[in-house]
Amino acid sequence: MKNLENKILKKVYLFETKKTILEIVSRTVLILLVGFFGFIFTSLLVEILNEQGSFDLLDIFSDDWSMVKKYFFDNLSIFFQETPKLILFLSGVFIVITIILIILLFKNFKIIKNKIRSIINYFSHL
Amino acid sequence: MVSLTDQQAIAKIKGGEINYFSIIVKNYEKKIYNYVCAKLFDKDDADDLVQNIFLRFYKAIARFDEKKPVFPYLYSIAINELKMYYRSRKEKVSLDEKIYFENEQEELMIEDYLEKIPKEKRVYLELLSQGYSYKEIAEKFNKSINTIKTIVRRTRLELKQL
Repeated sequence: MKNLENKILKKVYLFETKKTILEIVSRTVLILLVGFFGFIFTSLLVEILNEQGSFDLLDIFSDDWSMVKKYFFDNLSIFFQETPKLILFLSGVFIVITIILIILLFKNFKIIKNKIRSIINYFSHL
Repeated sequence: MVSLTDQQAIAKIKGGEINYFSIIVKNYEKKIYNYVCAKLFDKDDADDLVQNIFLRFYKAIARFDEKKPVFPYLYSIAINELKMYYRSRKEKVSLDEKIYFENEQEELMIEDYLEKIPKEKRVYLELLSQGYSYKEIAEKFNKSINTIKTIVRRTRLELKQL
């Protein structure tokens, strides 16, 4: 019966090893890929706004507080009008997804760590 | 390893501590193995099946409610695995046609009829043609020998009437 127990556990550990490796690789690839696209769109957005001189609108913050209060919403409105909406949307989406994936990774970090420890302990005692 | 209840062990397994699965295996391996052995005749097949049963349970453990008892769930997996096992064996088995008919025409008619008879009756006839005894078939399907004999006798009478 001990032999069968060992066979069962071996099958389970082999399955879990493959699953854990796949999980780590796929999570890493997904975060890097989504993060990369987020970075691409954000840098494109910044480049376009720079070329347009839209960032000059934010120079208002170097003025007096009374000026800021007076023109803040106007400047902000113009700034968003000049912003390419599609690129802003895509940039936002990819950044948000990256953040969510990183949060999920941290949430499951303890489980993955425990699995890796169990797997290493098992195969090192074989 | 500290002695834990099934509930505690499953909670640990869900947390990634796979080593606690050995508690589940130790607790139920013998029961499941005895049940499968009673249904199968091949020890190697029984071993494989028991391994698959526990692996399937492990795969489902993330969504298993640890408050529920483990054995009924393992038992239902065992039943499903046995069904799949019988199904896979049936596909490889062909009836010995010589037992049932003498000429080609009768052969075609009987083949046609056999496809229409209930699967349960067909399985009994198939096993008999493979050389299993009534006793072995009765043990396999958890029925009395007389029940099996009656079903087979009736089926053969129906075939003869063609």
